[in-house]
Amino acid sequence: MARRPSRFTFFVATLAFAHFLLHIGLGLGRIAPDLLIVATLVAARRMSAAGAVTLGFALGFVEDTLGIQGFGVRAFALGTAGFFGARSRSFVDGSGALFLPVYLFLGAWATDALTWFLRADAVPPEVVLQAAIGAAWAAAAGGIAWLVFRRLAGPSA
Amino acid sequence: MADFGSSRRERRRDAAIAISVLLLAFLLLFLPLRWTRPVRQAIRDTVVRPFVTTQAWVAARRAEREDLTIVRAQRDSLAAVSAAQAVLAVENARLRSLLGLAERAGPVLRPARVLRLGVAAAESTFLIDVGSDDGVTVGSPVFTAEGLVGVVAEVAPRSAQAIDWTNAEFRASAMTADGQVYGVVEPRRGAFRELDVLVMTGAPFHSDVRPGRRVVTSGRGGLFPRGIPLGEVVGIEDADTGWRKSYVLRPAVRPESAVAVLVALATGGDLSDLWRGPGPGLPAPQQRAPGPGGVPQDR
Repeated sequence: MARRPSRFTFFVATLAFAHFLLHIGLGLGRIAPDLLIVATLVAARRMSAAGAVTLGFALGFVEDTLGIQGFGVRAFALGTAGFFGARSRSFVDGSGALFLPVYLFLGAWATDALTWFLRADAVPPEVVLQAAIGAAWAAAAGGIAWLVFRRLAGPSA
Repeated sequence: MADFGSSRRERRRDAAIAISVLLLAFLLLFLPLRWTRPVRQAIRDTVVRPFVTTQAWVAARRAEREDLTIVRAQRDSLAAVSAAQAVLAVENARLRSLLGLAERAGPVLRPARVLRLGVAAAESTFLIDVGSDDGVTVGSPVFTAEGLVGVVAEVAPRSAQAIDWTNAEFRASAMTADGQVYGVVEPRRGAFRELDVLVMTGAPFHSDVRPGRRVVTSGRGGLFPRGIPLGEVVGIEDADTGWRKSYVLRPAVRPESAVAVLVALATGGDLSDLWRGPGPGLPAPQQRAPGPGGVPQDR
């Protein structure tokens, strides 16, 4: 569980940094995948519920400061994702090859839906499709990032 | 770490901390905007600043190389708008002095560059590189040579954050370019953000605005100067029997395409002359024919 925490912490921090670099620094916006949810969900599998919620809250909080309306929405959504991500260890082993993409996809989709629910009174049907595309993109990017990390850090990481 | 092997007490403590943090996050949702502003500004000025600076640098390099033609075209159009405004201001001042009328203050325009924060929380907003030091205030309209992009919502000394017209909070009192039909323009979300459109609501039921007619800001309410193009009518959205009609507009400007903008430093006023006749803005109506009562009408 706690093997090589520094490398894993560095990986999660890199995901968060890459998120802000792609979205803000390079101005890619929605073209870039949501790496904050990937960082939260990946970290949550190795952290306590309190730690995962705090991480999600902190990352979401930074993102919330960039908006004008809906302050706290992302902090709450990512915190909730962290909570359920950490709790998922109790009922899903997560050793299968397909686990990570499916986990990231469902987690990102649910988080997006929660974000929408908190921001607007109603969630338009087309948002479900948009969220699914965004979640698939985040899952793909997260899966690739995880493979790269495993290759660099070794299978025990 | 509270895991399978941890004691029951540890697991309870872990859950209690997690729920407390979630509760704190939930409470943030209800904080008034003015309470959160200092915190948001502090984080923007520290944690986020390097990324915004990077984008400004990248945007400047990109403008120099890839999008030179587009950016030059937008800047030239804005320069033409500014120049036209300056000429009109001088002309108005001369006519007013001839007629012995008092000077009337009009909006001063300030060029700015657009930066996008590009995260979900900042959707439908953008940054401009001018702020309160330049005279920008909350409510200052932001537009390009094509039409209205949005309105400033928050101001810092050297930057400001504006909402664009796709923001759910955006509203503008509007009228057809001939001044015959008035209403309020608001956004409608499309299946994808690129398909978002504007809708002019509250138009009288008996009104008959044909597709292709231009809709501009009416100046009512004193927020937006009169005459900034909003879009062109493409059809009717809905009609409440006997009460009102809503018209769908093709927006004059897509917010995502705006690179260089103008900010009106004062709210209210009249900018109609900037888009009248063949100029840098929307294509002028091909011919103006006198309508009922001799009022010129767009075809």
